[in-house]
Amino acid sequence: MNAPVALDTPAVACTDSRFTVPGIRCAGCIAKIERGLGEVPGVIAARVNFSAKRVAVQHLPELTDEALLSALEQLGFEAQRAAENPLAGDDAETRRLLRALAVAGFGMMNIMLLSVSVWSGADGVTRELFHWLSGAIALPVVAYSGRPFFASAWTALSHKRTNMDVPISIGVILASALSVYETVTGGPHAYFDGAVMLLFFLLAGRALDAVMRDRARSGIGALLGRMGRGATVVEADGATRWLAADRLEPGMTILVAAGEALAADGEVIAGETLFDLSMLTGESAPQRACIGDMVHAGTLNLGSPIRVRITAAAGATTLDEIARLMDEAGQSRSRYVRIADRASRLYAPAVHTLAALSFAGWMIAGAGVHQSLLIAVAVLIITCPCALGLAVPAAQVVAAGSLMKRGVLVEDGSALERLAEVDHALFDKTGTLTRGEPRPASLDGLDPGDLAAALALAQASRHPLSRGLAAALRARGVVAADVSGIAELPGEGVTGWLGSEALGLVRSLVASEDLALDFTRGSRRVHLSFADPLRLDVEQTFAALGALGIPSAIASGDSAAAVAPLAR
Amino acid sequence: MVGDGLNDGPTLALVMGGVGLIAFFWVMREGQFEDLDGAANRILIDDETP
Repeated sequence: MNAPVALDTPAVACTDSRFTVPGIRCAGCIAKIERGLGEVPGVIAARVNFSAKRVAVQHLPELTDEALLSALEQLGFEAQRAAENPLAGDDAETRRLLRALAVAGFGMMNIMLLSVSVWSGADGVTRELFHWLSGAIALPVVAYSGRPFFASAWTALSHKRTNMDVPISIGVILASALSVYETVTGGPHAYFDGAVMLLFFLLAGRALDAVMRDRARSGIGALLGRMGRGATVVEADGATRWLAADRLEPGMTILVAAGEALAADGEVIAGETLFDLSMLTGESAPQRACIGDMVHAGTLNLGSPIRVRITAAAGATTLDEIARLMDEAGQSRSRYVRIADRASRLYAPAVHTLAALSFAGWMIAGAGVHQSLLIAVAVLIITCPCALGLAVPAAQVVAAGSLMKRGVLVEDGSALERLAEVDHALFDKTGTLTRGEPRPASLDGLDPGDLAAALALAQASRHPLSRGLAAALRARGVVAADVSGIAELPGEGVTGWLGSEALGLVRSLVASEDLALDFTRGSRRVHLSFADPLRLDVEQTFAALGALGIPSAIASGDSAAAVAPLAR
Repeated sequence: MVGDGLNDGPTLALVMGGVGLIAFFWVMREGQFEDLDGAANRILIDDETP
């Protein structure tokens, strides 16, 4: 059903790459991407996930992410590497919970069918039979669907602590045991329906919670995903082979091609090129790297191929350090505890005490073990936090979904509650207040023919200024002209031929502080300066925050001079 | 009651419910729930089948 275009897959080792493509909007986009990517040499299959706005591509390992990204750009879709999902484990948990939920739902409805008959006055043999049937359904259902709770309660108890799952587990097990006793002795009150229904509602709450966690993508994963997947290692005898990033070791020499992202930190030992450090430092101006310079994992080689001797590999690179810091920052919730968690600390002991007191009380009043036990179990079941367990995740899922539609990713449900206590706002400059990409300040000096030629040249280069120019031109609807002989000289620019006229996007003759390019056509030369434009709604945002009584400030890695014009 | 075979309420409910449950498990394994919007949109794709 709706299978994507797939070639005959021989038993070839292939890699799986995932990209987020926010621009997927309709059925046509799905077809365009799957067909378009399928035609790229090296791609075995491409599958779009419309709900998650992602593309999963199966391809030969030699095909780099950059090549796929530019292929997607050619198709008209802006894309980014998607996180190597560190939450993949949690996905399994959601599925477990959903399966438990389905089984509990099935059991609950069938037992209810039988219970209705019993409540309507079925007596004697009928009632006994229905009790046996209910028990036969309930016991396997409780054993299967109750596992998440029993496992969690057991873990807590083995560490001499209690959590929310302990009273739930006790309640369910006791209710089932009592009901079995009732059934065997032919008594009137079997509560299999109660036990199973309890599990159903609690599981519904847990499943919603898990679904929400699944939807959140870790910023850490996104960061690590930008590192190169692997590198071409040069052996002592000159032979080359490709190794995955986690098999690289310090001391190895790797060959870094143009357009490749580094998979490890190292020192340049041969060649000279430009690196795009925007991923690490936010700086859009490329940095020159010559023999002896240190280069870092995650940065992009913009110019010519070089050789690098690795000094730090997977796990020890600067990028990994940053990821670790981010992880620690995310973990420190020590001073803040979710409201519901706070309540639950008191909850379990309180409920146990209440149930124990009820049991003791009724025993003292002379009710007998059976009656007192029934009452104690009833107390446990009534105090089970079905409403709480369902309400909080349900509200969070709906809120997170609405926010996601507006482009805000909610990673953790407690974030919503914490936002209510915010009293100060800090903004980063590059990328947050500004677009983070250089854009031409004005294109007035160019006529339509020039624009088309410029786009053709700009598309051919991965230099940040070229990409900014290309994006700005595409946004205007310019169509690239048919330029031939395109060549890129690192540090100089891109040149080509339109008919008999020489074209170029070259290093500016005017030395200036700002980023700039010169566009040449024949003997004409037009200066194009670039700036990192402010986002359109920055002023409104500051005003709105001010109205809420939240003062804003800027925290940036850039020099004070660069930031001052923004601050007001 | 239950001896009526499938003609009897509870047994029929159990069997049909069971079939539904098994179908749900199978579909989950196939991954058909991963992309509901996508499946909905794919029917609109124009395939160039002559």
